[in-house]
Amino acid sequence: MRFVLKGGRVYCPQDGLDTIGDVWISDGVIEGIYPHYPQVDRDTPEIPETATVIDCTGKWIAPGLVDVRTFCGELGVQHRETFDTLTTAAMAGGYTDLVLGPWGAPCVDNPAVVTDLLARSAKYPIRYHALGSLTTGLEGKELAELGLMQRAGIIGLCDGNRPIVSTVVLRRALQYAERLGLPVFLTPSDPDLRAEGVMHEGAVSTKIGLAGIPLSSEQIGLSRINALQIDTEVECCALPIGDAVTIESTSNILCATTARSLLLSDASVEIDLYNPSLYILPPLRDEPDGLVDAVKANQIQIIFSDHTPLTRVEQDCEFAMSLPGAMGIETSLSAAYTAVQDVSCLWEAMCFAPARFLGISKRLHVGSNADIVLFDPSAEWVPSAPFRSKGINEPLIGKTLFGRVCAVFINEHVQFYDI
Amino acid sequence: MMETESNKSTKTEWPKDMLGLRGKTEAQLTRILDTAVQFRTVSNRAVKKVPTLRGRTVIMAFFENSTRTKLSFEVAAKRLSADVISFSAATSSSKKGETLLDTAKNLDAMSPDAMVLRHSQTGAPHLLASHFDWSVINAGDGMNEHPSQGLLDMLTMRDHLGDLRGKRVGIVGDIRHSRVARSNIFGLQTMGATVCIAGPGTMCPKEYVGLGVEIAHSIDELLDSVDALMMLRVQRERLGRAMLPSVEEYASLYGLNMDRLRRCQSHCLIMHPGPINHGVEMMPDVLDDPRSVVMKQVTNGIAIRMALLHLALSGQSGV
Repeated sequence: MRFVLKGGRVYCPQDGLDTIGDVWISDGVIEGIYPHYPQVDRDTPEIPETATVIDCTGKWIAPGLVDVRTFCGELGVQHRETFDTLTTAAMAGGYTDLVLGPWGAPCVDNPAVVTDLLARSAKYPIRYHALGSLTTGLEGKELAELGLMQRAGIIGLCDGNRPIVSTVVLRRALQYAERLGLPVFLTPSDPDLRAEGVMHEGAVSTKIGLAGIPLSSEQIGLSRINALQIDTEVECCALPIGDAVTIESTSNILCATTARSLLLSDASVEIDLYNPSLYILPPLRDEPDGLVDAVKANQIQIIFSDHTPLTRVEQDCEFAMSLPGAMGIETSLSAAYTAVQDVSCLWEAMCFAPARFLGISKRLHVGSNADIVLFDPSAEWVPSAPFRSKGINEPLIGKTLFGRVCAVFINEHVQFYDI
Repeated sequence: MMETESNKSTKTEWPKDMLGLRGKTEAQLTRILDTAVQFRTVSNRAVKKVPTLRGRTVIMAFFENSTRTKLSFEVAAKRLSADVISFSAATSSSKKGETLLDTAKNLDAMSPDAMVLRHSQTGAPHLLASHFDWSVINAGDGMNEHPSQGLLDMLTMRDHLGDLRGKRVGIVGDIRHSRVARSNIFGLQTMGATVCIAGPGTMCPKEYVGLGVEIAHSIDELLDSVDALMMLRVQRERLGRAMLPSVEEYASLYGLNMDRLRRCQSHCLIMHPGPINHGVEMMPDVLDDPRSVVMKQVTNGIAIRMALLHLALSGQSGV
């Protein structure tokens, strides 16, 4: 099959591409890239009749996104998500590389589980990567077999979505990870201050009677990560950042935030009263505009989905009785574009920066396998159930979003979306 | 998304649910208080019963311990001739791990007309209200609201102080965890009163300024200016969580004793939602002062709950 993506904005800065042009894909391989400027390339061959021509006017042709931490229930939690559902959902969201968090039953804390997980994922068009847990059982007590998991194929490490309580254990885990050369994702939160809180502590939590988590919980958590990073020199990314004021300008760590937190705030919990989809940890804070500014100023370098699908069984309950977390894999790109309105900035935060951090190749050049997303910034849509994911906890249901993926090309796999 | 009570009304335009006082209008609150005044006479008769809710089924679902609120709602429902079914957490299937929604679905199959719900989780009544057609009346959810208590407090104040507009009400104690305080704040402000709160920094957080209340540094700042002083119960289990150093210190710094009572205005009402920790938030002799209206609060509680049940169910078919 040959596709000609015609007249789109071809974007991949590391390949020197930011131009209007055509991209030819043949049997899953990029066959040619033909810029229109400064003039239409005289070497552009005539389009054969058998090719499928796609008018890409006004659309961006760029490498697929990388999500740095996604939940998949393939290991023992299949009622919440499987590779089948996650793959279709992630492609619709523009992702071609997904990094799986270590949750599951069992969790990813030993090489056998890593091998099993990656073997199960191999048949899917999306490239799946695994993060290993820093500690056994995500319990924050004993070091997991980090080196053996690296041999089995993990590309990074993670504390789950809760901080390791013991600073001694965390420091040793980071020292160990540094020597292995593995990047680490850490949760900036002070567990004591988080306590039983379920949302941002402030005027809204006071008004609607939900236990709050003070912002100082994240500030202290991030300061702790900063200090230990300086100490250990590990490659480190703190996620998710809920409020830009917590970021320290002198830091050597990368900061990641979720797309949803660029649009939603704690006020959403009052507007959409006690909707468990808004029970997210760390919680939605009260200054989403500050996060948007931090993304534009490159103080926050990565935007990710923090996709955590939950089913009706886990959501049809009181706010604080729900499991924390929300979906996002299908909506993150649109949510981020709605908030930031800068495609180049978004591709840096959702593709190139995470790829660099994790050592994933993102290229757009002739001869390489297709890894292309066609993005239409002019599209407007409103997320609604049912979703491709098994989850129901999408906090952006009913919100008008801008920008949407029209097509994804991964190797020989092609998927078009009717937008 | 959960519906708020204002979204779903019966044909008399009265909301089917009473989830809280937040967002209620002055007219709605006045109607409840006026209805309660009418029902109050029922309790003074030899035959304390009216046929208003005859044939209607009201379920008392108390997932948290309660004595006075549960009894008060039961008495109220029975004086309206409703059939009352009660169950508590100790006997419910929640002990077996059943979710609230599953429990409610089973009760729904028994065709109730209303449920009076007390639950430890904020938003529990909102959850049920959004799933079922019968009325849900919040008898206390988590640290969110306790609307019937707020209303009976307001009725007691109105009985003694008249129009609440311009009145100043002090609330002292563990405001942070108090659904009573929150309902009173919302209701009293809607009725035009000013609320000022006092308590330890751990229990009286500065975020309350955002609700439009005044925060006093000590109970002593409030005494000579308030028209009503509401003392909240201090829960002793908070002691172990670094909320308070000791009950003795609390009693000394925030307790209402005779010395402080003397500095209150002659018309200032002394109130407490009960149960009282004697010698902690209130010294025993304070209750004997004529300004104490604690028992009148209890009596008004029945009238308020009769009003809430009547208003919630009166728009439904059959009445």
